[in-house]
Amino acid sequence: MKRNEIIAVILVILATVGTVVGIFGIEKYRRAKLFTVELIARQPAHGNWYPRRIKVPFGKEVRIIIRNIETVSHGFALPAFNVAVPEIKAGEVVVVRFTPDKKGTFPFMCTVWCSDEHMDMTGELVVE
Amino acid sequence: MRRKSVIISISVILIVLFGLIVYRGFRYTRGVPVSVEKKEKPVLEVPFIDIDIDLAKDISLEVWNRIPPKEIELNYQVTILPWGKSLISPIIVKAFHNKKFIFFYIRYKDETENRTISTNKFSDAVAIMFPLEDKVQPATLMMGFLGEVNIWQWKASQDKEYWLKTSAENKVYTDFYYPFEEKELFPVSKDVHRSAVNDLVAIRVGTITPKENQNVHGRGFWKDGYWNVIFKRSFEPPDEHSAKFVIGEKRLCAFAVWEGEKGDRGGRKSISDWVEVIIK
Amino acid sequence: MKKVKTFLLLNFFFLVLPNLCFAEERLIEIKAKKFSYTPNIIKVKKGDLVRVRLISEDVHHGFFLDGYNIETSAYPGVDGSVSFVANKTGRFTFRCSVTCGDFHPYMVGYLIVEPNIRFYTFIFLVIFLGLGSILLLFFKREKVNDKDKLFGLIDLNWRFELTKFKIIRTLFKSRWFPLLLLIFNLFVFTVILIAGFIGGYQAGNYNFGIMIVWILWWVLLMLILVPVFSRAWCMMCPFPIFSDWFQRKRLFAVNQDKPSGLNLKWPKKLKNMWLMNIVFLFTTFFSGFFTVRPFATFVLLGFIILLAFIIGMIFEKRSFCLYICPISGFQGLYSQFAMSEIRVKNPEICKKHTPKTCFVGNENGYGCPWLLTPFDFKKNTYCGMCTECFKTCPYDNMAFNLRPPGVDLLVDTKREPKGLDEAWKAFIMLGIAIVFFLAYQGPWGFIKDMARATTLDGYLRFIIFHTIFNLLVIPAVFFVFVYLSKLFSGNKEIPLKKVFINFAYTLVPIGLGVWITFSLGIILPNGSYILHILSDPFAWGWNLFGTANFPWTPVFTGIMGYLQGITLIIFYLFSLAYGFRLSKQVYPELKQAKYGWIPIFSFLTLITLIFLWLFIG
Repeated sequence: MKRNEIIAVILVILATVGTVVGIFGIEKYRRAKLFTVELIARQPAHGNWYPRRIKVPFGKEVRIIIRNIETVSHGFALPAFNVAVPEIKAGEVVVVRFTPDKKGTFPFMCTVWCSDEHMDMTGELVVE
Repeated sequence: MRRKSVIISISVILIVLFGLIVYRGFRYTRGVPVSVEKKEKPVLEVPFIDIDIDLAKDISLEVWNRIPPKEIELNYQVTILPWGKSLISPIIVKAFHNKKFIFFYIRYKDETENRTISTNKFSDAVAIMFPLEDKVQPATLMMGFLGEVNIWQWKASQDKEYWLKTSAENKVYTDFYYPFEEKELFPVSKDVHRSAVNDLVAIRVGTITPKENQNVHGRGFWKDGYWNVIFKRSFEPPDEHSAKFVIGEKRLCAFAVWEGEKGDRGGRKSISDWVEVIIK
Repeated sequence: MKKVKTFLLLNFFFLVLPNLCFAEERLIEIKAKKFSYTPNIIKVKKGDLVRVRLISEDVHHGFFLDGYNIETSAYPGVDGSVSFVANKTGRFTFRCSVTCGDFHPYMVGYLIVEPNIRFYTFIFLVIFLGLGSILLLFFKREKVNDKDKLFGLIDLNWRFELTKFKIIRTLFKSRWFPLLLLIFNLFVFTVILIAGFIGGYQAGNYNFGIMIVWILWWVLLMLILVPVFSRAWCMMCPFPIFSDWFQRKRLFAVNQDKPSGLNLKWPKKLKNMWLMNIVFLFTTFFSGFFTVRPFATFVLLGFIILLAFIIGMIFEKRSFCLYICPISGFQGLYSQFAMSEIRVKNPEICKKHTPKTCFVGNENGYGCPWLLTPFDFKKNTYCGMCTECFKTCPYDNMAFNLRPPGVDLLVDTKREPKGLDEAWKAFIMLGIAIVFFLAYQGPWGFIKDMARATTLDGYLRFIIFHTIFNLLVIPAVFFVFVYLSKLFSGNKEIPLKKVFINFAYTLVPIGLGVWITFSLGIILPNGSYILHILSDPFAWGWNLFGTANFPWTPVFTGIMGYLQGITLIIFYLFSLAYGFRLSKQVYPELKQAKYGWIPIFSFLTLITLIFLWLFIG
């Protein structure tokens, strides 16, 4: 029957293209709705933090989602605002929230020995 | 053979598409690709100057002004708990030797001079760490965890008591004790100091031990918001647990600074990465 | 009173004192570095108080001891420590409990608590059962009217037809089956591909692609799908859906026109398992990559589906599935052991039926896409269970039967002969099981370094060794035993090739058993990751089912050793049961069959003992 054929084709397209579009769409919506900055943690040899310089507005609550896309643990510390995550295990995602109450440039860094260049794993948070 | 050519072209297009997807995926396997610059270790040259410094008198600034300064960046210590809460960076380091002794000079900005220790008051301090093994892994930065390190720690409070020969204001003070905030204040009683600098060994965090023979001397002066600290030790290592210096060879060292005003003690400090020391 | 005293004294000396006297306190320093421990094999005695000090030499590593379920972890510079009393004997694996790199799931070491009674018990059982079977063979009198029963219990001709239930038959005859299953799997497959592509070089244990494919699907295949349902995976495999759609120009309806595409016939010389043997072996070269790196899984699966489509455009029907797909190869061989089959119910009906719609197709379905003749095929090897023959048969003469396992091993017809290609497949599967166990579930770091290509030199040595071991060494060793078999039997006319090929099929049950045992070692420690990835498939911070933070929890690790031993013994017995029957098929006289069986029996017992030693010794 023609109708069954159409149903089958629609199902296949949903299963493939629909899935792709759906997944990326959901993620885009999720990020637009909730998060301000996505920070990816990587060893310095693999590219270091991305983005390495984060600009955030002064006085408004900031949410940073930190994703560890590697196979070793990383950590996150932003001493200027007393924000810290002791360990972000491989594949984990952590959300930190704070309100920047000082203007300027502040360093953030990794807090778990992840590689030979761990001391180099730093970035800057710019509040303006 | 129209059918054949259609199939061949579809196949080629698919293979090329797949290849492109694979290529793109490959480049992004570690997230957005960025160019990675290798950071070079800062190099501290230790020239030979035939002059001796008597710490009892002064720190001989004229000698030091002859040597070009080396700026070393420090970072919060956030790898082992408890973490550093304040940062002093950068510091200026100079060094020279006269074949009999080796001298290090460290100068950095510190608004307050903290020379007293008591329960809840902490002293400013500066330390230099030398790994004792020849092959040193970068991770050994954490208190020498795969090999021994020799640490020279100068404490402002110790300096005051040793050089100014003032008697202790209090008989006990609080020292650090790992690893947690509440349990961090551990009362320790004083002993008689043999120098302003503690000569210590350590292998892995929490194992810091004063040596039998205290061989390092030092003195610090605070002026106009800057600390100036000198370390002096014999050029030849006095025992097997002491840092070795060989003319012409590269050695490693690292620096740490404690700002007593901000509550720095123990693991709460600002630290540097490895610095290469070349003895000329 | 004196008797009681003596009794207590004897007890003390022989039971209590030995355990007290020799129980020590052991301090063991274990250095952990990617991806192995030093020391990697630790022996303690039962009753020892063991203190473990874990020292990390590069990154955060962990220590979890199977069976005792104790854990600790160490950062570089900060040691971890744990202590326990070794009151359980056996060999226990300790594994890394903190993701430390790509080979993290393979970072293991062995703790042997002596005496390893569990191991000795199983060795004894194997030898006892083996010798018992030989004695039974030589001293039991064969009655003429004896029906051939497996283990004396299961009639080899027993069949239970599942499709006699109306609901199942209706299901099989509907064109929505297995199409809906296929579409669901296509959806899962798309998610796997996306997860693999996005995953890059991330931790494989948190990636949907790697977990679903190499943990869930592979283990399901080995534990349930193949042994029980034969090639049921092929029924619902999404790889050929696009080429089928292209050929048929229809997804659901039946198109009786000539299929589009070139429709070439597969070359006769390649109509066997040789190509699949090579492809499968080649794929295993990269096992150190695609089992741990999501992007490598993406490349592998993407490449296979691309290849399936291109082959489908050029050759007829399911040529890709029949002769290239690497999964098809081992499914084909091991499905001969399976407990299900699709066969014709009443061959008489088919004899009078022309044209044979099951082969040429009609308006209800396509002619067998697997190029089989449903009306008379006798082995599961090439039947992909697509159920087209159910749809096309006007007499409802096809049946899906449950049957005793292994029946196909005794089938040797002109159209479906036993062959060297299948023999080599059996060798390759056995060899790969050994190499994979040594590399991935063994404690030797240098093998892992070779498998993950830490140095090009080591990697090349690994693949060369892997190839030679599988293609040459194992067949050569087997050949020696086959030669001995012919010698012992006293039969001088029979061609050695025939003996070799037939006896190679005795490796099918034990091979399947070894893979099931290996799979237990995959799923029990690592299965809990699946809960995590179901909630957060792309490591984007999702939490679909609330289980995104489910911690890594190994299950049943205490009894894993027993499960593995029991599995090996069960399949060893199956190998023996079919082995002797195969011997009777090979040698014309019963006496020759009995004596010719002895060397092969020794080989089977020997490899079972070796596998017992590998897995639980």
